[in-house]
Amino acid sequence: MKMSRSSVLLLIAIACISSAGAFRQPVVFPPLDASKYEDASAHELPEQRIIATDSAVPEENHEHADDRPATAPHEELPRSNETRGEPIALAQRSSTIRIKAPEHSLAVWNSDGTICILARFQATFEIPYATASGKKYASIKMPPNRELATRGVCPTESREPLFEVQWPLFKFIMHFARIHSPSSWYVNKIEVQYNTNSPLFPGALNPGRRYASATQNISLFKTPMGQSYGCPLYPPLVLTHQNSSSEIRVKLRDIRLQAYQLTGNYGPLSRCQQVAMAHTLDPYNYDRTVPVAVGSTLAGVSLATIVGYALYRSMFATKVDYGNIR
Amino acid sequence: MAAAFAAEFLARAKEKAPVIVETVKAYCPGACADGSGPGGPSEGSGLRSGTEMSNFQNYTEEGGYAETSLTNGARLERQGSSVEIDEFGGKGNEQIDEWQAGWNVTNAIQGMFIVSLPYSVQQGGYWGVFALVFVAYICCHTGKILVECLYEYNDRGELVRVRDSYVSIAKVCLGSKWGSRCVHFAQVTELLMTCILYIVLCGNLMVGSFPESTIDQRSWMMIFTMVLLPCAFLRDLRSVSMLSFWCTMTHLFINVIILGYCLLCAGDWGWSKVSWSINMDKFPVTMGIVVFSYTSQIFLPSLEGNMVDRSKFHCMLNWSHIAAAAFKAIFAWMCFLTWTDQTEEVITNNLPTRGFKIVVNLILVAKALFSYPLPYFAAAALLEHQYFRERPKTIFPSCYYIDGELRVWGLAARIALVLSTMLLAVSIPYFALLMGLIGSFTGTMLSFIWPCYFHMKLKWNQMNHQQICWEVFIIVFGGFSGIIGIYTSFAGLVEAYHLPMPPIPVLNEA
Repeated sequence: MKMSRSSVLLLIAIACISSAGAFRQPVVFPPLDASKYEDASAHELPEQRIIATDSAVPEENHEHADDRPATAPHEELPRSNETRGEPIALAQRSSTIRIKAPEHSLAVWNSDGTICILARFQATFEIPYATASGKKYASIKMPPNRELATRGVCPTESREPLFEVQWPLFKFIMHFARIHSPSSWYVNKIEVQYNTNSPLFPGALNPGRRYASATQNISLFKTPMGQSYGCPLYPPLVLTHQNSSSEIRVKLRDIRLQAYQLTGNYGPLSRCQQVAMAHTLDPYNYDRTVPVAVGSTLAGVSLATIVGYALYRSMFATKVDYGNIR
Repeated sequence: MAAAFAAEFLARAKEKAPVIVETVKAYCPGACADGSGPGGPSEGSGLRSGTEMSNFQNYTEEGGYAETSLTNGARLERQGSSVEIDEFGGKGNEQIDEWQAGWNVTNAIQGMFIVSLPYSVQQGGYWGVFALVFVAYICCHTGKILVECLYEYNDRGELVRVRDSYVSIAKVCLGSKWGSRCVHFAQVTELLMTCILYIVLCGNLMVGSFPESTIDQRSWMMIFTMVLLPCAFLRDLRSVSMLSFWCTMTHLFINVIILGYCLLCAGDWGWSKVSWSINMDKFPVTMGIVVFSYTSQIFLPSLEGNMVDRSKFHCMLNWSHIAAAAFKAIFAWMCFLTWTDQTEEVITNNLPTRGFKIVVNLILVAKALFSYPLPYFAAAALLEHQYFRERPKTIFPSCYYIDGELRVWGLAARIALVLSTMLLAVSIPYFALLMGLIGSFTGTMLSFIWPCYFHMKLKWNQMNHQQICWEVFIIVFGGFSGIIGIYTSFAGLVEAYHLPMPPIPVLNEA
């Protein structure tokens, strides 16, 4: 019963959106048959169980809910799982006001409206795929935030958080885990789900859904508890397909990430050791003591240099002049 | 039939061999030292023993030499402010030799982006290596023709240096008002962007080396600005040359360390990974790094003008470009062989241990600090030449007292220039993209299009078809690289404003 109701809702929504011409085309993805995508995804996603949502409230809860106007991808995509499994985490019907996420960041909210996961990053995926003329690579870039939908699972005592970002035909999932001594968190699984039945994979053989992950003892972005992870340029991550040897390379840059103990904004920065050339966007610490101290010292040294030179000139130059006169 | 043809061909080749050898010799770098090089103004002869390459092997001697020259420079008396100061503040009695000029050119063309070159080989395979050599050849040529534009034949058929700067050439070719202003503006922009880049890089490298420290990137930039403050006292090209010399040494040191590591891994080199295929998505971007890492033209008229023996200019330019091409190509290629597909955009990130990374990063910081004085000095001198030469000539009075020392407000202005580069470094978001956008334009104009255009305009009658074609090709090549660079940076900037990043990090709430 529930299922059919939501299906009807879905169809109505799609009809309204497309008839109103409001289907917002993502920059990198061509328009696609959304219902087909829904169908395809509904049966194959391996991780649905975890990100299941309350089926009665299909639209409002689990997507990225900042102030941007809801667009087609926002409305449609999160519902791919809407009727599956048991509600576990983010199934709240509450109309609590959510805390606004920091600018340009993707967020997941708790039932009381507080932020429990914050993330911002750029991702590029190098995906090999088979064609009639051999192996080819598709380079796929994560679209801008406004075209993304995010969902996730907030951390509790018993459950580790999960963060999912998706856009048409594509899904990128991070699983978190924590260690108690020393108290820290890290990412222990990364997944990518995509569909090669798309113009981004021209000439792909056996087009359809693909799944790749990196699970073999990975511990990425290890960060002390209460802090956020930041990195301007992360070395490429290698994800392997389930039943083939081909590897996806994921390049993440400008990362800022925190999944535990958030207080509305990112915690103190724990930065990686990578160097990015001419990168001026390194997330600065919010603590301004050091920059202010260094800045004042620099101003002082500059002034002292000028004053010192003026004194030197006034003493030294005068002497020279007297010498010349004699 | 074929055999007969081959025999005849061989015979002809033998006949022509000496001629070819002579021609090759004439074009070889060492040759211009004897004044027999192609096109160069010839006066005096003889080259200091050895080449720049041999010099790399016994640099301690050169180091001492460079230091002596600094001391001499400092002792030189400055006779009043009436002495005609050229574009970069050089005066008649403060000349540099070909080695010192070479250090400066090397400083300019063996830039900080050496650490990104292996990535260009990853994107472009052998084409990346080829590009590193080919662009060096082109830039060497445009440098020479730019300097050729300074000279004209007089009535007696002698070459006379009738112009003294890039701007003075532009005055003739582009008109004395807007043309020269354009070139002046492009020069100052390019130089200041380079200065800002060095400060930004210091911050990047330090924050990457010590991520846990409480000092953040902008604090590091300010700390290194304190180190750079003494640049405000730089008065002559000799001290700058000495700093450029040390810059070259640090560069060499980085090469030795990283290539040494690569050689230790020689057993695992991925020979088959170097290919002839190009990643067309990324190669244009990396090509931009390659092309604009060879731009020294901005400094050449002044360096040539300040050389003791100008006949050695071609030799100096040839060898510095050969050295740069060889070092860059070998470095990029060997690093790629070592790390193959794992090669990162910044090669220091590939280094195995944390300590190793930190050591290399610190040497790179030293290199950036030694590199800073040259563009800073040139920018300060250009601004001084344009705006600070007493009332009738320019709008502001001279920065110097009558005894030739800096006025106090002159020093304050120079310190303000250092501080302004720092302020821009900490406050410009997306500096790499902005630099790419502006640098692609000014770099293309200053290094490719203007030199060729000026040369063709001034020397059209003395050029043959081959030369004209070659220079037209350079203009097209430069224009093409410039357009690609501008396009990619612009696309990046447009995208950047939709990125999941704050637009202006400095203005974050406290």
